[in-house]
Amino acid sequence: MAMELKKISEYEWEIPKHGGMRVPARIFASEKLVQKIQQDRTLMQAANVAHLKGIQKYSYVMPDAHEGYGFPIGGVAAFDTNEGIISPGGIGYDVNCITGDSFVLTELGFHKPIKDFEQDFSTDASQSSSLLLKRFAALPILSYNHQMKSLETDLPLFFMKKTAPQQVYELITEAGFTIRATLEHPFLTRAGMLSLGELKPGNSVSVYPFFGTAYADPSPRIIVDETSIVSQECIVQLKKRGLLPLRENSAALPYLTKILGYLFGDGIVYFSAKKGQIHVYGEKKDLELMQGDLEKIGYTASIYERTPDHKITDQYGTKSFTSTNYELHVSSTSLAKLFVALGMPLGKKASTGYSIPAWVKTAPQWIKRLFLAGLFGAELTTPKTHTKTGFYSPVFGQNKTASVLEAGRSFMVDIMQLLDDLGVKTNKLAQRKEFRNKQGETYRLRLILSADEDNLLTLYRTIGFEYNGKRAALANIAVLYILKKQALTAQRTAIAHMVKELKQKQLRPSEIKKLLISRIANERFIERCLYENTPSRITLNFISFNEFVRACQTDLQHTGVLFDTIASVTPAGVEQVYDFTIQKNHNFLANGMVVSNCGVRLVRTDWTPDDIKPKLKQLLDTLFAEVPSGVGRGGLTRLSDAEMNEILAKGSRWSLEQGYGTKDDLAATEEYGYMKQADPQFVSHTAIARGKPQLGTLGAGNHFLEIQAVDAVYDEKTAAAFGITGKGQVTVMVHCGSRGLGHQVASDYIREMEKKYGFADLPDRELINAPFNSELGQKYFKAMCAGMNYAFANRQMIVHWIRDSFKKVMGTDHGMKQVYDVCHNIGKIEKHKVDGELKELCVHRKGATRSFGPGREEVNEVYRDVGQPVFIPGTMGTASYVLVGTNEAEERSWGSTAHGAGREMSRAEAIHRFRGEAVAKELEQRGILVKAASWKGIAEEHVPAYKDVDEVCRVSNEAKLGKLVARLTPLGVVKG
Amino acid sequence: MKQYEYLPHTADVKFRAYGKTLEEAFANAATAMFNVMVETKEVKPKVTKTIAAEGTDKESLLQSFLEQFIILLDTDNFFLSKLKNIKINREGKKYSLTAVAAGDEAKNYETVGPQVKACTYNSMLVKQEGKQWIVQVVVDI
Repeated sequence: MAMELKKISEYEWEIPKHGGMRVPARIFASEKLVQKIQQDRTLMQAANVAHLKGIQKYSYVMPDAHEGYGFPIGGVAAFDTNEGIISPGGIGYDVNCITGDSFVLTELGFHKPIKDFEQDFSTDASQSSSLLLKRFAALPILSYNHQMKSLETDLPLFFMKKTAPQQVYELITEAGFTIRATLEHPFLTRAGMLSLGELKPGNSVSVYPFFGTAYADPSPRIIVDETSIVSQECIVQLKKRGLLPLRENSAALPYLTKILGYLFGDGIVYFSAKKGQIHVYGEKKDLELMQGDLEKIGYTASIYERTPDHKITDQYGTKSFTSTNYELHVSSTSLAKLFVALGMPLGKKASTGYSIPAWVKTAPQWIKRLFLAGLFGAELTTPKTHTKTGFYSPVFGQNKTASVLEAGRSFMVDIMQLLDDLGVKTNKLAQRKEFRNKQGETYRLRLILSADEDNLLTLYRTIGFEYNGKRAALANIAVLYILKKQALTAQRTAIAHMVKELKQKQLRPSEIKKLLISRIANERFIERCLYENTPSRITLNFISFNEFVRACQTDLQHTGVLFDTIASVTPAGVEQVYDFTIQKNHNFLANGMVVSNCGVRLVRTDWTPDDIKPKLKQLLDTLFAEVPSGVGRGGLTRLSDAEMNEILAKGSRWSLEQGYGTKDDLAATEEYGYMKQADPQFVSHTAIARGKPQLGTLGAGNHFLEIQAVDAVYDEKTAAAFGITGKGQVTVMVHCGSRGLGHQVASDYIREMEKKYGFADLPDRELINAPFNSELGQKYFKAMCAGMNYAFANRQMIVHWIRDSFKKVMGTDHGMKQVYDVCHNIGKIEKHKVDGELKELCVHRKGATRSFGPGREEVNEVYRDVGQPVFIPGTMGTASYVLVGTNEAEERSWGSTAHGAGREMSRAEAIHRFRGEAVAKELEQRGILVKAASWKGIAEEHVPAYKDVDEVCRVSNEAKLGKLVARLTPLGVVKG
Repeated sequence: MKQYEYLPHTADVKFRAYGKTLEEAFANAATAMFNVMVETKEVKPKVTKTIAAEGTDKESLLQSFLEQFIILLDTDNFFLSKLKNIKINREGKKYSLTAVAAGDEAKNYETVGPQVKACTYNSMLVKQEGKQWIVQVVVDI
């Protein structure tokens, strides 16, 4: 969830110092990017980094940032080298807590007190004096998506319990929603996320009236087994999906129950030429939800749009009209058989007799609720008022032909029984003879539920509607409305009592009025209490339900949630407190411990796209053959330990000695291609063994090699200094890192740091660090520098092979000159001004690029007058940018800017949505050729999975972190 | 009984493996990890490798065990076919594991997905539920 953000300027935001933060956090982003950044835990992580010992000035967040583990990806922080730390990943989880009896609503419509989630999480947890933290994703629970402005389901990633009880405060809203939490706990308000300490009576706070039912463990009893399916082929199909035998506690059962309920209302199951068909009718959005649920159990559904002409004949005559309908179809014999085995009637329901399946009647309450909510989503009337404030009775209706009328009645009685089990009262079962249609005599059966307000509260709060977003929203609004109305009525009743008491104390009417007239009790009301014995009722000026709905819908449209007004916030003693960390969909490098030292290298050429295009395919094939990539494809070299040690110590200099590249390449590489602090003796044998065969390989994942063309120049003078002559010039870009060696260095030191410092004081064992000046801190730093050298050497060899490939295909490599090589995943010792004094700092740039301006001595001589080149690669199919560092960045962000567009969609989702071959074809149509080791890789890195690189670079330019120089568009890509 | 299943995860790969014994669950976890990269069923048991791992708890044993395969993949381009003779010992706070892994060179197979680069502690779980052992892992790709 997001944190409070203060806008400093158009492209700068601040998280003020709070809790244990040593410094505030600064975010560089536009409104648009801030919204994206707020979707995940980036900001909380930036705030956590601000807790670290020795941190200076601010914890910074770059425009392309997204959630990592510990540090956000796109996080920059500098630590005093004397006092501060060095961390393989970053550190700290912020814990804001609510009390153990607070209910958490799950995806499946049941709730559980947060403390009961403890058992869902792994048993071996890290525990310290202040915090117990467990990890393992439990049930999906509801969470709020800031960007989509809607509630959605998400997974709790961590369960946290403060071991020492904390002072808590109780928040009560006007409608009676109550929660106890610590003052730091953030709440969603109309003004954004605010902590409880900042909230006052009269402020708004978001509420979610639907409550669901209590949870009970489902039993392992078998509901459907092979004997009720018969067909061998269907048995195989169902078993393949883990649906047979189907038990009450099968993971798929809740979804099946919900869908079955809806099918009983607005669906049909039939067999045509022995092939099972399932058709469902409803709104598009709701059907999409069902489609998602079907997918969870392993079936694919399609949604069709139809615009049929209708002709309906009833007792009032014949009406013709056209409307747009949506239908969901599943064509699957095994699923159809499964639904039939679960109790679904075959064919037209109006002329078929059936009852509620016996297994539903004996299932735990929350499963009964799923069935009813699905059924009601299809068939229960919408919440509506007949007067300004009084509600209609909800009605559940069905048509039945005369021959099955009795069965229909018994079905209604079953529903009455289920409702009763869930505490909902019914008023009557009405029967009406309908117009005679082609099926013969029909009857309308209507189960009329009690419109008593308490009954409506139970109905809408515990059962509600599934697969019917509109009615579910209205039910929530109705609940809030009734609660507000009841709260007001209760207050007025209390006033009425007081009037009588004061009257007995022989106060005069004028004195009583003076004491009690208020916003909710006018003179007329007091008089009625004095002279009449009428029960107090709602004031006439109370808002009508329809107006209330309109007001709520404005909120829903703008924020996706409902709000209530805070009545009070009061101290509520000392209690055990808990919290979750909710997983969000946006971590690109999900494992924060990994410092893989990757970076980007750019080569300019003298060719134009017209020179290249006829030979593009041949070029890509040659590059693909020359530069090994993909899984388990070792490099072309076999190295000895001694050679590896040299590489780790010398970086690109070693490559040059071996004939890979030129002196000019080194002159145009950050740090001239090697970290002098590197010490190979601190790199483990295992890490070296992993590095040996991978030297000179591209690797898999998001690493790539791309042939591009300059398509815009923003700053001709700087571009010229970088060797970029103008539009239509071909360039080649490489993005890769230190491969398995870098991972192993991180993994080794995490283990060492655990042993030395333990993880007892940390909320998570991966979030480990060591003081920079300690022996272990120094060893890690030197090993990490060796890892950077490996990465430098690696990219140097790849550049050499790129030249070779071009030479083979184009006949020459003349004019192919390296522009620069930048790292974007590193820790470096640099001097920066802090409070006017130059200080030595260990700057952590995790997914951020150094962007020093002109004049800094660290900038390579060739560019010292213009500033450091910065490359921000987009993704397959999008532009990449060349920027130049600025002096402002040195003041603002320890001389850092973005590193790439940043992932916005999960990999799994990307693979799911885009098929590799289709993606490659689409790119080809746009003139971009792709060559990859795996098709899956192509889908993973497809464009929509990334944040908008144009916006990221625009913000970098506007915020003066890095100035735009040129834009490069892709011609061809080689992917690992 | 299901050997393993993949769970939704954002940037990386998360899976659960099951077994009647801790050993079986660990072995299934190794298969699940390789199945991210290759159809493990197609990998032939041509060469064998000895696996040894240690840990201070079940989680660190699992982390170390899976890391051994990542190292084998990086160093010997090894794809797993099946595990044999897997044994887990515990002496006080020290866990150790030995096994024999049979498999083949990666280049003989078509890769189906991204390369696994590291085994993380993220969402890691090792637990016994009734008669079943469950392990859960997120691997970095």
